[in-house]
Amino acid sequence: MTRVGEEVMGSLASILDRLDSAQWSRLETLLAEGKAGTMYGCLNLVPLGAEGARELMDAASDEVAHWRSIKRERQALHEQIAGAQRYIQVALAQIKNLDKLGDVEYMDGHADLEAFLGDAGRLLRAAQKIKPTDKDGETE
Amino acid sequence: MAKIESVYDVATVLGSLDTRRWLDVKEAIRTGGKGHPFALDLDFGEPAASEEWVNSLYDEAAQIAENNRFLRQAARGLHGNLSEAIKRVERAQHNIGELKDLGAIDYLEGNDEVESLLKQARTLLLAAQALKSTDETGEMK
Repeated sequence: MTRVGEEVMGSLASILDRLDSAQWSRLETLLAEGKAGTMYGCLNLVPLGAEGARELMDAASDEVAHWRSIKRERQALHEQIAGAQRYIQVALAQIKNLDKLGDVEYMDGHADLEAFLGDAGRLLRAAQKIKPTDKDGETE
Repeated sequence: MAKIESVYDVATVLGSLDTRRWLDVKEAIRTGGKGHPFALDLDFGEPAASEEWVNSLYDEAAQIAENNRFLRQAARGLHGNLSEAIKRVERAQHNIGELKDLGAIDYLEGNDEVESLLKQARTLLLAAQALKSTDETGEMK
């Protein structure tokens, strides 16, 4: 695909990403007929014909799928780090609970354990903060 | 034949039984002797001197057994939560690997601090899991 073709494909992919997939076939028809520009100025193209429109739509939808995969992974990354932080908080509370219940093993020597968990929690907070994307998978 | 000699022995017996059978243990304290159906190998010694003594020993042992059960639950919970935290960190590491494979530029351009922090956090969690004095069943290691 040429540079201009890539730009058009990128624009189309952005539109598809926002558009309900039920509307995609309508847009393909408009591209085939050269009428997509009336709705989307950036798609003011000559009629592509059925085959040309299909080819462009395929390339753009592949791009959309790729973006969405990346977004899902970014969201999952955020959620996994947040989940680990929550489990650490609960674990710290349980150590205190063991203290209260009078487990001599935890009354005597849990300081290192708490320190390790506290440090792990801090590292995860830092990781969550410095990673380049947020909970929605968007670049911060 | 193991002899029951203290309130802690009774608590251990109670802890090993379903609570519905606890009154059988109380009866064993009362009558003494051996061959009780819930634990044939235990010897409860002489019959209890008084009902008051039976109640006192049983109540204290039951309280210890209950407390031990809560302790085991909390220790098991601690193990489970550390395991879950480790799993989440490992999944996060996997997510970053996937993002790199997908060519996500945010995670390609020498952005290895996040990976490094996750790696250190995992190491600390593994150390904490190894360091703590109880295992996945809540028992002493």
